[in-house]
Amino acid sequence: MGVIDKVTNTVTALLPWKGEQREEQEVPPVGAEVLALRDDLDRWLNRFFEEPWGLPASGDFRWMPATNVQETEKELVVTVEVPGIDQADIRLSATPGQLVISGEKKEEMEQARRGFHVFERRYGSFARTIPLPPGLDVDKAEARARDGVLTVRIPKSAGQSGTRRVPIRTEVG
Amino acid sequence: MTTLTRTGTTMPATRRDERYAPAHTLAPPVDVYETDEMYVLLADMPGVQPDGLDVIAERDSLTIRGRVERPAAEPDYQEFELSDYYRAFTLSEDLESDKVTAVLRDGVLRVEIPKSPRVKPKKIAVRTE
Repeated sequence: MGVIDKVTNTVTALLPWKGEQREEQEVPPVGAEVLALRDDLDRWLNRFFEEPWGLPASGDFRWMPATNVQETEKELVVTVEVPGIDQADIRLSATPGQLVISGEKKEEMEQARRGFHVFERRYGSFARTIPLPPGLDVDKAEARARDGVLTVRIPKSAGQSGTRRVPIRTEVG
Repeated sequence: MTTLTRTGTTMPATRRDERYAPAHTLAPPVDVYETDEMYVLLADMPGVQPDGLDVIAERDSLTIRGRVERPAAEPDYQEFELSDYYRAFTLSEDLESDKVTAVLRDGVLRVEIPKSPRVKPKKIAVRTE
């Protein structure tokens, strides 16, 4: 006994004819693990084939935090999932070509721990390199971490945004 | 002795659970470990603020719900989705569900579920004869 995951530990999930009838019968009687595996595979394939920014892992790191990138008229916004990571353990460096986010997710120290029953969260060093498009003012980049989400805002350079107007001289001859 | 039996599979963090959870929710990844005194549950729930979090402990169950403010625009490149969270656990009788405590910090929920005094290990003094 103890703490048991209600979602995954169900008789009906694996044996649909057993146990109580549930209302959500349109869900195909496929085991939760099969569905989960399929989702994992889908994510992998998506990362291989549909990665427009091509965000690679850099160096020998244990995991990569999930990252989103949003471009607006004024800036590029990079958001990274960093739950449980102390701000002091996050390092950020921005150069005109790339943004590097690295750090470490530390396991909490519990001396009296007798053992894990569920172990799904990831720990250890991580790093992410995000290629940046030209025309950003990396010196004015700002970052803040809140509720386990790191947000980095890099404004576009004032002089390079959009189309540059070329002045035309009129020569009086 | 309290042992945790968990016959199900580990659910990836981003798998939508359409069967039990409300629509559009994610099951957060959790760690559960045991000490002499309690069970400790850690859940990664980035984007959840304290006022958007519900931890409900009933006699035999623990339910976690987190609401997230979604960004206005869809990202150009996306690996994660800020979405509401839902996950439920069954608690065995030897846990004191009325004494559950919860703390949220930096997007991580920490729930402490004390063991009933009768199942806590006791040191037995040995007499010398």
